[in-house]
Amino acid sequence: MDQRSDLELIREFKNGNEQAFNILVLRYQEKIYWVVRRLLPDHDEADDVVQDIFVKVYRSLNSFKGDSSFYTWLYRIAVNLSLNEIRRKKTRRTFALDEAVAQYESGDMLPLEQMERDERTRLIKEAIDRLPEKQKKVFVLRYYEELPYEEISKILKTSVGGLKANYFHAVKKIAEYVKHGLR
Amino acid sequence: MLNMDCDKIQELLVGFRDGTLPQEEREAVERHVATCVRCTNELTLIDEAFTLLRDVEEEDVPAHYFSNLLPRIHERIERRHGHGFGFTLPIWLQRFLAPVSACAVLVLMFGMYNLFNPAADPTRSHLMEIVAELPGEEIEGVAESESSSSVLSRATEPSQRLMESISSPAAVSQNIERELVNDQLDHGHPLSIFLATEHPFEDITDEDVESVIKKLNDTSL
Repeated sequence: MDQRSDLELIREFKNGNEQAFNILVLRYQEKIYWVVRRLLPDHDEADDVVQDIFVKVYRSLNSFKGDSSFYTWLYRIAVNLSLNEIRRKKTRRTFALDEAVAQYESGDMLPLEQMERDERTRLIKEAIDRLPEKQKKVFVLRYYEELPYEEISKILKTSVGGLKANYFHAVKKIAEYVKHGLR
Repeated sequence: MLNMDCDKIQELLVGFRDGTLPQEEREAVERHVATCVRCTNELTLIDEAFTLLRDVEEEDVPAHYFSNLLPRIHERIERRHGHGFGFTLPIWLQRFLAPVSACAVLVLMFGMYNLFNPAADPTRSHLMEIVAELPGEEIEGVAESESSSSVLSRATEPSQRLMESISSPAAVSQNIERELVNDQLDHGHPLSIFLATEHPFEDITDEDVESVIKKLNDTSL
């Protein structure tokens, strides 16, 4: 594990050391992938956006002034590019229910408990996917990434009070959506 | 002791449940929820949400995805910002590329301007350089030839004025010679008589000669 700080690596990259960029990618690729994947449930779409994020980082690293931490800057790029992708596609996916029905019809039926579990998972994913943009990004950063509100506030450039309200409404909507769906 | 309304309390419910509220706010929520049915229902809903979320199965990631990601990112960088020369300039050098290119273009433009615009510096004009390299006889020849008008058209403004003010460049030459002869006659040079007999200058006045010499002195030929 490389002990150099993000800022040291960025300085080295600016001085021509491309290897420093590679270390930054390896350090953050997994975290960034999961942020994107929560926002874009499809792996291939998430993969495409993750690559774009690091291409953008490569191109923009020279202009990174260090006003915020690299981590905050990187998350901001990740959230923005993911939301761009969501806006671009604007497609609502059909979830695994169709597959479950097909399995039932073919006689290759899953145990009831497993089907219920799959259905809950499907509804939760669908609920997160349908959250308004603001609530969705706050939810992903707070619930999945477990970032403190102060950090999210820097990433999204929003007040902590606003973030708390968005997070509360997001959690509530998910619960309501799933309950309604399971009825 | 904090007393809050339902809206304010509800914003704190998530923090209350995930244990991130400060002690004072935590106590305020507990007191409020104990007496408010609406907020108790909201808290139950949040509990259910977190229970459901914990139950969600982790997404799958293809095997070796993370170990193959870096080379794929580099491929994309190359594809989008491919370097036609087959190598990558160091970043610090790339930063200087634009200003250095701009300076080079400016220097090139300045050079071209001086090279092709004789008016830019009369002492270095193209015509002046040609004239400076020619022997005296050839200058007279050019001035007397029929193509002298084309030479005049290429000359710089001061040169044009000088050449136009002289009706016959040959006469200028003769004036200069006469000046020398007079000088030599005054000083008893042995060649004076020879020069005087070989070149009669009756048609040129002293004022002509002085005027020409003055113009020559004023010109940076």
